[in-house]
Amino acid sequence: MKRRYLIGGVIILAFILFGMRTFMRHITPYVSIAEARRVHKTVQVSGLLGVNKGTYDPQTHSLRFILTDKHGDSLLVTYRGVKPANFDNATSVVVIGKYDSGVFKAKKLLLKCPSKYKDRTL
Amino acid sequence: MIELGKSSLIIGLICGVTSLSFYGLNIKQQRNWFTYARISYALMTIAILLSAAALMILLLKHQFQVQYVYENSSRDLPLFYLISAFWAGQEGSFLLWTLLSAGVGIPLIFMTQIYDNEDKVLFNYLLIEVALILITIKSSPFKTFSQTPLDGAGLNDLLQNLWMVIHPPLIFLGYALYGTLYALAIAALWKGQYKEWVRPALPWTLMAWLALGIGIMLGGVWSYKTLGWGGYWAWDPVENASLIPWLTGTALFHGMILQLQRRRMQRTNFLLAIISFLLILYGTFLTRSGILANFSVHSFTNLEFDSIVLGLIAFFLLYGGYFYSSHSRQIPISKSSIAILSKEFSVIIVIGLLIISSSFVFMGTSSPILTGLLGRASNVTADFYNTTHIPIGILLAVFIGICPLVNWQRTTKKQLLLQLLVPLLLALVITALAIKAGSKNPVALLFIFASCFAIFSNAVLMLKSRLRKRVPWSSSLSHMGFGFLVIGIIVSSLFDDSKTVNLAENHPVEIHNYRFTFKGVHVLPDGRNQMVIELQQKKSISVATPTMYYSKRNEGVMAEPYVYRTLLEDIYISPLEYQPGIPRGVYRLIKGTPEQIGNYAFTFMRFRFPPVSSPIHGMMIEAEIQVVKTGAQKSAPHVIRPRFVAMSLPTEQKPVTLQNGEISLRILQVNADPPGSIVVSIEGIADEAVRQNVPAQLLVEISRKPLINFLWLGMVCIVVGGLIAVRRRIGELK
Repeated sequence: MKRRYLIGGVIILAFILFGMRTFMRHITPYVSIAEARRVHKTVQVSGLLGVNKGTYDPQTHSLRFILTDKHGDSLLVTYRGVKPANFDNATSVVVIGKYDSGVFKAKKLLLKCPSKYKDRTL
Repeated sequence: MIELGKSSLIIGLICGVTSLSFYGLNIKQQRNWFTYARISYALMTIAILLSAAALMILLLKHQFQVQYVYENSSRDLPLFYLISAFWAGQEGSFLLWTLLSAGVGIPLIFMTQIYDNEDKVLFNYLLIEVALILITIKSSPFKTFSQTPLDGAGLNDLLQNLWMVIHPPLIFLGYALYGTLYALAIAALWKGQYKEWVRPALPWTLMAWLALGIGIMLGGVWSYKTLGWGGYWAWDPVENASLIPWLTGTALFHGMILQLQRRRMQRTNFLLAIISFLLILYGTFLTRSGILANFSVHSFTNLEFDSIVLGLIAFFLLYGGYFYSSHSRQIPISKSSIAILSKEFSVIIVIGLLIISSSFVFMGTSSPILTGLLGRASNVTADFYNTTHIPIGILLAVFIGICPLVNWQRTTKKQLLLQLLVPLLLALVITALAIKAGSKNPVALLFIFASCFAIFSNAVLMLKSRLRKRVPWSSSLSHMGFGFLVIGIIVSSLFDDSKTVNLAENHPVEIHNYRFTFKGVHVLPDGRNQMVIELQQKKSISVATPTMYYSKRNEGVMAEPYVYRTLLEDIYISPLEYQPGIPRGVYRLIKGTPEQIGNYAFTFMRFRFPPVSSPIHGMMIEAEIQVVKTGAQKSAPHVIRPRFVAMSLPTEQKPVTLQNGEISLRILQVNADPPGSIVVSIEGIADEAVRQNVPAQLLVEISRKPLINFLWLGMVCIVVGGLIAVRRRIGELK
């Protein structure tokens, strides 16, 4: 009986360790632009889009835009992929990706459109 | 109507508290207060029903002074979607939850009468119901504006879909039923009915599990059919919020069956029932509060509301924790040992795996909170969930396969080996076929092997029980469903073949053994654009019609994919971008880029905005174009300035003629997006070398999803098996 509990405990422990390791490996911290530049890891940066909504090249399907965070830092972001439908209306963006030699290469964009946050009073 | 809605909720609250007090008195005084308690309960249900009816009427009558009606509907919405607008927003969905909860309580009253624990069960159930009414009053759907808007903002276009109409009511029915589990468990602890509660609670658990499960599955179908990203599950917090209690619910009813059969897991079952409901509340908190706003695409944001829900979680946690901790010592533990080769061992492992799975999903979904407490809020990517579920999924399939082959208590090795032979061989054959078909991914092969084993071993059991009659076969069906589901998920995602291609109008492109021809745009009566694509395989031709439309509410272009379904694979066509064609004689001039047309070179220099001198009210834009005649009759650069008047109605633009009178030029379109471009029509260029027309272009993502039908088949098997089990377990109560 005792041996059986031991085996069970070891298996559960293995699962916990496995879970923790996978967790640490796939975590993407939320950072400021300054920090995104410093660490060359996959991170998320949240910021505002400028009035100039960036450029999109339909031939190569690449999007380039400037992201500004709350500290006033700005960052050139490139995104390979089709321009998201509501990109032109988005005011704030979360980019997930890596900073690499001068540009932030986004793998994923999360957009926020102003309509969602409109004031409830008319 | 607004007043009726508001006051009914208050009356409902009063009746609910009254009913709660009568049930409380009944417990305390051992006197018969049942009639009063039940009448108050009925009155409460009627009041909530009235309140819901009021909201429905407000929606149907377009009373836009009500904020909720304004935000979720509009005049042009068809009746069907007008009804579903009831649960399109947060306030309405809480009212729906409250209403369904009240309704679910009525059969609960009848059932608990038989089992003689009505007062304690209903007392606890009413605690939940009263809390729900309180939330609905606090985040009321009856708030009004001071003025009445002319029209509503409309229902989110993505929700205008059959699947999204049924999905929320099922999810909330599931939520309501999870409340009964909490109430039944606490009442059983209170009364000391540690054994007796399981039989009546089992059908409720199965129903709760089923309603939530069907809701989750429909959400997946919706995601696949309308969102166009090609998947059905994204591990988004909103999805995970329902998945976590669904997994613990699955563990719970397996534990209950084990308790009925072998008197095991009595403590675990209490814990699972209490925690499952707490997880429902926690999921609500995660998705309806602002806490994940930065991490999820579709979380709802509402800050005022966090503290109430957090308070409720704390209350139900402490309340449940108190009852469990004060009674857990009296709950008997089975002392008999467990044989490895037995059904009880397999079921215990399966329950363990389900708990581990739900813990991982819980950990991932809560990661912004967990890491936020330690320091910096961080989120995990979908890879976390996918990676952790590789061993869990394989082990689950293996044990689901072993389960039907062993007896509850003990099976000899010889017996097992004999039983193993057929399913194991069949699974090996399929895996060998998969290797022959070219799949080399070891994870995929392991999954295929394990799930085939699960399918065949349960199929054998089902055949046997059909032959013997009277032996329940619902679980074998659901377990086969699990096998199908896993194969569907693994094969369709690991062997997904996706290509992004540009389809020019009437120019066939060959992909995935199909010939795709974009045939142009067909405008539907509702203003949506249907992209007509011809699909040809050998001699059979069919038409695919993904759609693109501008959504006023979402302020962007929305695209709906088209799924071309065949038995063995889906061809998933997701439109990405459409560029209209340019007919002969029409050209696009990009700012600063010279364009050679015939023996002229045109360069669009810049936009100018001249003061409007004409009486026409509209914006006037002038384009400065440099024209140079090239070739033998070379001329000096010449600048022309055609004008474009932008008006709300289509306006004929005046042509500008070149000095020598040879050609005339007219602006058709202006595009101010950087770098800036204009579309012009040019007449009079004699040269026959004038460029041909540019066809319209549609950028699409075409992916092939092999065996995705196994996924749907698996869902259907799980649901049908569940329904049969519910019927059987209800039958057992009588």
